[in-house]
Amino acid sequence: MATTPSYNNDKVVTGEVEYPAGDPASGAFFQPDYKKNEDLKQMLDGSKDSLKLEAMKRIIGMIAKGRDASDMFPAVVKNVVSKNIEVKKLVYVYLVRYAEEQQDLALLSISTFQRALKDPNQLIRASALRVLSSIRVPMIVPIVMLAIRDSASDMSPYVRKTAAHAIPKLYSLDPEQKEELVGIIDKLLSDKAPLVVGSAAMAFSEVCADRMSLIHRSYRKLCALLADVDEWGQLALLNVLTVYAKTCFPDPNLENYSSDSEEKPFYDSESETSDHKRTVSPSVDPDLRLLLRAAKPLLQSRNAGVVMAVAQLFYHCGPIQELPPVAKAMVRLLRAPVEVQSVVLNSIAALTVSKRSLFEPFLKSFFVRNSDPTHIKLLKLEILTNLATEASAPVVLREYQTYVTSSDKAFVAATIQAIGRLAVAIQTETETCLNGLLHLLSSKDEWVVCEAVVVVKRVVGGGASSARAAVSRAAKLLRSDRLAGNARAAAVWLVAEHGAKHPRAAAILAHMVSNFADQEELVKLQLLSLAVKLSITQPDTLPMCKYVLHLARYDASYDVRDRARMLRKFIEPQNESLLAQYASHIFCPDKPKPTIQSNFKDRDQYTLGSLSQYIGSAAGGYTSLPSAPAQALAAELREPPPPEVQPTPVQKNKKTFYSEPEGESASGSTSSASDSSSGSEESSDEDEGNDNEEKPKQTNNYKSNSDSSDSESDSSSSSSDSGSDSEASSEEEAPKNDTMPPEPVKEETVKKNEKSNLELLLELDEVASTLPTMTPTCGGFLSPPTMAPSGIAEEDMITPVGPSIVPNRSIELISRVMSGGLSVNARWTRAPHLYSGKMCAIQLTITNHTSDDVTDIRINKKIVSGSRSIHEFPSIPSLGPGASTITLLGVDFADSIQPVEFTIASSLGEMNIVVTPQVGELIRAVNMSETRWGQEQRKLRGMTECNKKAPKMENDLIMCTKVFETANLGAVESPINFLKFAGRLMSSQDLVLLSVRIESDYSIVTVNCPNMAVSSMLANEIACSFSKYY
Amino acid sequence: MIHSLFIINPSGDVFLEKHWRSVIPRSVCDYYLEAQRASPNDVPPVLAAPHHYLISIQRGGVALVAVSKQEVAPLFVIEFLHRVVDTFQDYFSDCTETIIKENYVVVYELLDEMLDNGFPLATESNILKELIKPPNILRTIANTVTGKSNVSSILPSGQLSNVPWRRSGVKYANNEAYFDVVEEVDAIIDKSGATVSAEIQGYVDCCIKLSGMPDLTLTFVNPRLFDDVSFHPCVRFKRWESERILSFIPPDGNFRLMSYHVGSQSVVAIPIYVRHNLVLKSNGDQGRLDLTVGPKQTMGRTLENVSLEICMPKCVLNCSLTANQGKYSYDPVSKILIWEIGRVELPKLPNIRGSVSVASGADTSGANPSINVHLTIPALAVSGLRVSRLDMYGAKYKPFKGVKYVTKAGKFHIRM
Repeated sequence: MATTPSYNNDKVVTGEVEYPAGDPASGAFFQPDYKKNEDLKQMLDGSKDSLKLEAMKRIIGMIAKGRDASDMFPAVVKNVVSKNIEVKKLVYVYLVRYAEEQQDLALLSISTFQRALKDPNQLIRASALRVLSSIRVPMIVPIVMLAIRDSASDMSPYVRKTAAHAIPKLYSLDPEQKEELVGIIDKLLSDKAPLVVGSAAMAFSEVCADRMSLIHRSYRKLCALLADVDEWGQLALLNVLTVYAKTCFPDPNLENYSSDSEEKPFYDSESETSDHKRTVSPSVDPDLRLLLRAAKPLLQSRNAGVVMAVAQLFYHCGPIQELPPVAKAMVRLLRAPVEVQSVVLNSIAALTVSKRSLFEPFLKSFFVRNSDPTHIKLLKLEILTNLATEASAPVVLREYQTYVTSSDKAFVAATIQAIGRLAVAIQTETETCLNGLLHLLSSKDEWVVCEAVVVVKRVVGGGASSARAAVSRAAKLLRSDRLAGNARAAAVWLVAEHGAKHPRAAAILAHMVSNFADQEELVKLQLLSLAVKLSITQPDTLPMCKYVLHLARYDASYDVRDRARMLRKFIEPQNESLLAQYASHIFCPDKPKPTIQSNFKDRDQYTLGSLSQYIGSAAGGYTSLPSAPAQALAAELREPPPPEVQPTPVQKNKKTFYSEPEGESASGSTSSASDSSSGSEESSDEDEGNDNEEKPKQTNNYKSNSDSSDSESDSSSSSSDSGSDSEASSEEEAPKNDTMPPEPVKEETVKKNEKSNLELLLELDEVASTLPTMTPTCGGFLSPPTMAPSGIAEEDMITPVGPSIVPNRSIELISRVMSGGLSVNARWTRAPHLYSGKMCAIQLTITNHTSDDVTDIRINKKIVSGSRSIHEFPSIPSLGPGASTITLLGVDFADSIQPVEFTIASSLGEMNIVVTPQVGELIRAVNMSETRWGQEQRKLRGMTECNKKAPKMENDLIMCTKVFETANLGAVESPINFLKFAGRLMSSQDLVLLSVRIESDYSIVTVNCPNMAVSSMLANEIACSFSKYY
Repeated sequence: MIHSLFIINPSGDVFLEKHWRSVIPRSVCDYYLEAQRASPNDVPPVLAAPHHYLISIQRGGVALVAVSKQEVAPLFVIEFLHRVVDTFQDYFSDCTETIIKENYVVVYELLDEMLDNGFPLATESNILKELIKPPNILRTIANTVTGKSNVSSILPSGQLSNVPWRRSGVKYANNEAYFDVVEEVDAIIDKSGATVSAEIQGYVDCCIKLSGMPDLTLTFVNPRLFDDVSFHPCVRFKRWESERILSFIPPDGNFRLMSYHVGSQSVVAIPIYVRHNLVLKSNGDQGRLDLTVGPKQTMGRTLENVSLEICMPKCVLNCSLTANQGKYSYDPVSKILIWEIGRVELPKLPNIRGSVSVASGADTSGANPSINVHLTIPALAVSGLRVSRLDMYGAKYKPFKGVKYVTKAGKFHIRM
């Protein structure tokens, strides 16, 4: 059956179920496994997709059952290139599971993912990143890092979301990457797509939960996006924002409220906005208010986790008057599945200890049903006890009366305890409670009686009022000999404590002492106390006391003997010691009333709804919320940074975008913010179809804007408005966030603003200006793909610099002999071509050696492949005899040293020219700080690093010169004996980092570049140039 | 974050495991199994093992145990696990051990899509169904013929749009929108028949099959009834706050639009009464049971599917009863007496009486069994809620609309 191809699930399952090794009882357990796997391997090695699928399904079945399938790794990993998407998916699942164990083999699959990362389909890009980052092999850290960095600026928000998910994975694999990852998180947090933000918040709390400074800049935007994020993202985001709010805003409950602290719903309709400005208590920071306002609707979420997260925010950061709606929502969760109930009740129990009034209106919701599981019953009981007030105590007590007859023993015991607590807590009910408890003492259920006695002992404590009745009852019980150990001891204590003057106490003692030897140890100890106390209050019982002590002296338990020996000192009349004098003070003092506390008293210290709160102790990785600062922190940091270049009308627009709304309603402004952001997202996203353009109106699920109720035409006009807003804002955004690599299209508009007159002139000439090209002076360095994580200061930026040495050496491309009189020499100028920053400018010197004019010299045919291109020089109409002219040719080598070919045509005919670049010429020197250099180099370790040993030269200067001659690199400040250089590849803008470490008798040349070919070639050439010196 | 998930059957075997981070040995489940052995129906949802935290739910006879290594919001995990089971039920119409085992490949693919590195990725049923097609016979045959698979190669557009809960390109020949208003009465009635607490928990469940991107507006006659509401993410909350209407772009298919709560303030109608008399004598070995059921505040409707469930005290060995309507069964092991009555039609009141045999010498005082009541009342929303109208924008066709009301007994307890 294993060999028949079958697609459908049912057949596969039958196969799986019948499989001999699947069931240990079938006797196949001890059979060698290899045979079974052999046939799976064959199926995988075959060419039929159906067989492969079948095999993969069975392997996944093995994984699901937890059986080891690692020996199939080589066979499976081959299929990572499979065209069949289902096979591929299953291979991914397998790979993620076993890559950790088979690291070397797992590396085989990496190139597939690297290729897939460049796929035009966003789903494929995202899934490649997902799997690549899930493979826990330390060797691929640099590759994953690179992939994350690229994907974080992908055009598809889905891929960016995946990048956010990949960040914690990489972090757990190699915590050293933290700094760089933090940079990416920072970038993702300022993303405008709600899809991305939630995952970014998750990554933030996983990797760098303590870096609150990252939030400042995007705080207001995050608040605005909160409603649009998916529910799991809301959860993560709320948690982050709660910590942030706690860190940055003073506790709104500390200041005194003015009289207007009424609980009006805030900001629910626009007309009232200005009124509310005044009524909102001044102690709530406007930014905190923004968050609370954004979070409040989420109380209506269907997701219990989100509701709890909002409750957490309001409880820990919000003003106390706004808690009632939160309580209501929490009570609503009690209708959810029992697991949710359990967690919510736990939190409510902790809340009711300090904030009883919140849940008082919901008292009846906590009444226990017989069908509740025991731990739910106990929690409800706890809450009921906490909630009971003088007014509600009778109701609660009536409920308790029902509960004590339950068949659930643990619950009955807890109820009796609860009655005891109620008796202590509520003075007016003490009598009733005690009566009830005493009634229980005569219950037929011994178990109930024991529990009741113990509780009565606690309740009676010091208050003597009702003690008499209790003692009488206890005395009766003791006489009936129905009590077991613990309860009996408690009863004796009760008599000793409160019945010392009771006439029947002596009789009880006599009764108990009659079988002293058979009593339990605990009871014996209590009897000793009772005897001594009696002898003090009723001196005529002294002989009996002595008798008891005598009995105890020969007891088997040393505790009892010890106690007896000590007590004897108090009652012996012969030595009128101090002890005997003060005996009555020692044994019969006035004791304060005991307080019985809730078990949940200390749960308050943990964050509401956290795992730690549930289990009552700090869980691993738990960090408590920081205490609120006395003053609001970093308010100015939350202001959006002032844009640098900005036309005035846009600036005005900007004001209303972020700052507190004045005329406009709050909800309106936030939704317009989100609209404009989604609008800009769409305009820059080519993967998304145009159909999304119509959607922004329908997006705002929680904050439907006021105008959506209006006519269609109105909404369409407003959406076009927001569209234009978004354009404006994206335009201004780009120069502001110059740390973000803007997408090329956007960048074009940015640079238009910055162009000088000269460039504008140039642009008029260039027909190709509509193409996404770089303007000359910027040299394309405005948009380095690997940017510094923001937060790195200006001096840490990478700036292009001119070449250190421009070699004078020229290469003869065409000799006069071959062409019949026209020679062409080329020289590398080491400067980018004016046409595009990706092009090397090559200076051509064309000389006419003939005696006639050569006319119409131009480039005729260009033979270029791939992304490489040539920008021809303007054709030369004529060149006089003996004259020579200099012109510039631009060649984009696309970072490879493949030669480019072209022909120069002239009146003398066509000549073929081949230009082969040196790898050093494909680089452009850049300037950067040493620390930045170090950071960048750390990112490029592993496969992208190339080392070469080279001879050593007498001094650093010569070595520097050699390096500059070989490659167009910029020097980086560096220590002695460790020279550092940096450059960028012309075309891809990848960084090239070169270092020369000088050892005692040799030097080591290290090149780091994402382009592995470049790094190895450059290392070779540099090493070569060093050796040529000799 | 969730590190691993184990699915355990009632006999304590781990029959499926999935790890999203490093592999955690399944022996960690022993902590759960231990707790389950101690009290099968009372396992706390969060358990702390020395290095892990186990968060579990029990549904459909299987237990899902999620393992986390560090602090995580328990409700997040619980909510997610319930969502997993919901998805399974959505895909396979039920979530039992056999069904999971039968569909383990789809299950595995689903789990892989739903969680990435322990954080939820796609949980909306509309998106998942586009990524992984639910198995059905027709598709299985089609796949065999065409060589296609259940896994879609394109990204569901919903994931990217601003309406992530709705798949795009929905097309139906018949456009229909059905709304079920289901109300459950939760009540505790004490010995004497007085109401201790009563409230109504209501749901609006939808089955919406509409083409395109319809924008619906549902209006109630008396929306002020609601004490507290919670919504599907598609509902525009601001609109509800200001106008008390539900405005939303629905997901495709079945979903719960809103759940609401009516209680604390308004008086809740109790639709049924039970007159009960249970006498257990401690000296003799016979007791008597007499139950009569009758309608009360039903607003003229009949009670249907009425059944009573009584958990008898431990001392009751057996019951021999006669019912004038329906049939009864008694399970001497779990001590549960079930009386299935069916329709209650006046003037005949259903009655059951007879003797119960009591273990001799057992203590019978203080035992207080309680009755759990189940019933349905069709075509009635007991709170009086009524849907006023449904309007549709954004599409040209005329949909077929329907609203159905039903009242059920939720947690309806009568103490004896």
